[in-house]
Amino acid sequence: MAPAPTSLASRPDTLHLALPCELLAASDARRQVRAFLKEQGLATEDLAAWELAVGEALNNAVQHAVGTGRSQPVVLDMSCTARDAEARITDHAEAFTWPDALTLPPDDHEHGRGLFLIQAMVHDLDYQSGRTGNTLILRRTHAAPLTPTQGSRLQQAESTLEIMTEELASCYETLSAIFRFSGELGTPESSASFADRLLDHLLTITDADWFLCRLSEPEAGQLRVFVASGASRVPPVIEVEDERGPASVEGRAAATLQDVWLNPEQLPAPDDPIHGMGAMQYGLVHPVYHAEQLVGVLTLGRGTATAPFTAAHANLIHLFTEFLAVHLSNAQRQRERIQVGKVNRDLEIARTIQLSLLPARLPALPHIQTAGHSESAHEVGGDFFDSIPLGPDTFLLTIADVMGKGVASALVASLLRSSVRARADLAVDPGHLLEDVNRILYEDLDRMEVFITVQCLLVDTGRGVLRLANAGHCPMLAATRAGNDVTEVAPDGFPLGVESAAKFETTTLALNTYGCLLLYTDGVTETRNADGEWFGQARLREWFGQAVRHAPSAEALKSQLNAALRTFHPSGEMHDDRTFLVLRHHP
Amino acid sequence: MKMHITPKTLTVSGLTELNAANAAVVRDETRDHLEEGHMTIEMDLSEVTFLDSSGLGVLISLHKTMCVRKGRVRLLNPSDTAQQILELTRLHRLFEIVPAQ
Repeated sequence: MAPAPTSLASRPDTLHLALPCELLAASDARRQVRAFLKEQGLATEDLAAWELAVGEALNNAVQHAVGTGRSQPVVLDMSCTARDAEARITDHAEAFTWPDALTLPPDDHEHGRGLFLIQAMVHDLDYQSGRTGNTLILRRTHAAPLTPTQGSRLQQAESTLEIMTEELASCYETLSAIFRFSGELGTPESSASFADRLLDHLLTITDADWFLCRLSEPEAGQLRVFVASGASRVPPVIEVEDERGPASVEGRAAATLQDVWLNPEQLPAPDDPIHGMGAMQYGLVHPVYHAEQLVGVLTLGRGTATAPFTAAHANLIHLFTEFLAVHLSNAQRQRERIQVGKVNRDLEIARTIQLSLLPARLPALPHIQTAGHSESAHEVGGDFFDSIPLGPDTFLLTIADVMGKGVASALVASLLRSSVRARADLAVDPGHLLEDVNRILYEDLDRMEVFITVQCLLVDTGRGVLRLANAGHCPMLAATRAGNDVTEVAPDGFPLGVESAAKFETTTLALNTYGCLLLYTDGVTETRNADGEWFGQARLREWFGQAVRHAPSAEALKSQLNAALRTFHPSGEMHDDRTFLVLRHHP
Repeated sequence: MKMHITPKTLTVSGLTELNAANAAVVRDETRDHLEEGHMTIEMDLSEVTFLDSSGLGVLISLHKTMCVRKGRVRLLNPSDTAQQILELTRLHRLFEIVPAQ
């Protein structure tokens, strides 16, 4: 960044004289004071006043010097600001007390007017007597404003003040622009159009003719055009550097993270892509970075100007690009948050669907206990079970597995659940029920290329009957009351969605024969251990046979099966959906 | 400093400053050129750029000299600077001030 000009306005201008204790020297010094003040730009009236006051004071100093004082110099120090001037005269005269009230002597007195005249010419006066000498301090506010002569130091100080005022004004402008633009943060406007407006504003306040902003693509080592003013003919993507180093001024700025200043003596090479932006006499290529990461490169150019950007302009450019970098970085984070938010919302919806799929209550009739477990590997899946009461002693259990995972599967599962409930009147014959449900859903399932495996079990404690229908689902495991033998029951039937007019077999069993039934989905049998081995049908059957020997409650069996599966697949890794139903019958 | 002598009047002109450094010289020179018949000393102050208390002292001294012979001192066309100081010290009443013709 160009350094700020040194400030001279705070240091008033000064004159220092040490003159021999003689009247001629005093006159000479008095003339020098007038010349000095004239250079500062004092008006005639003020010049005359000072000349008289200083003249009288110096004369006094000379004329009243005593003893060794006569061989010591009289010292004059004069300082001048835009508002007033001050003179300090140090002499070695005899000690003297300045009279409180000064009056003029009678007209015919030749002497005695000196002090009166001094006091008449100045606004402030102080006289200090000391052991080694006396100091007279005179101060006078300028009656007329200063008009410094060309090249005078006060004039330089004034023009410095002008520059600083300009800089301050541009800082206020920047601040107000930033306030204005920051009010627009968070509006739905795209980053590109925000950047475009911000940089367009920057063009105006820096007196530039065009801008080109590229964003960094660090993995590819490239800079891609983001926004540009006017009709630009620049390549959309450029390399930051090739084997020999940066090949363009933009690349150089990006590679070194430093500004590149361009002027008529230091223009970019003829093959530099920046020339596609148009005429450039002066330019500034500024790397845009945020939190020490390169975000991009901004180039501002002046085509016809005769002067480079000032330090104030450079400041503005830095401030604006910093602001832009923060905005872009925020926009990026916001996008990511929205994305995560979207995902979270999806998951929320899925969770709601999942909960709605499961029955609020499982049936608990006399002699019948049921317990169910449904767990999805992801937030939601296509497994579910349902229980529909059909009368005081009858109910229908359904267990199903929709192919696939996620929200789509859950929605299809929901569809199936509703369809089964809608045709619960057919539940007395689960095979017919499935036929009808298949017919209803076939078109949709076919279109979506989804199929569903389902098992429907009617439990009629009044008639003491179990009726089961199966659509391609894993066989139900049934343990007899007598010897706890386990049989697999799987009536014929394709999964739903395979054939439009599919037929489903119904198997009828005597309820009293059985003590425990297990309905499950293949998530249970396909649970894997560390070696990749499946739990499998055979192992499940064996486990079931063992578990029911101790006549545990349905709830206990449920816990035991979960424990067995967890032991088999202990790691925290994602497993498949896991759903099963346990029914315990004890007359 | 220039002297112009007529039978009745001594005119002193060419003064640019009347200050402590040259006060004695101006006074003595003027007195030296004063002749018996002179009743008027004219001081041309038109070019005076600086007049301090010592300069005023000279003018008063010459005034006293002329008073003795019942003559007078006239100040010709004082510069602004000179006029201001004469007024400030109220001495403009003491002398006859003659503005430019």
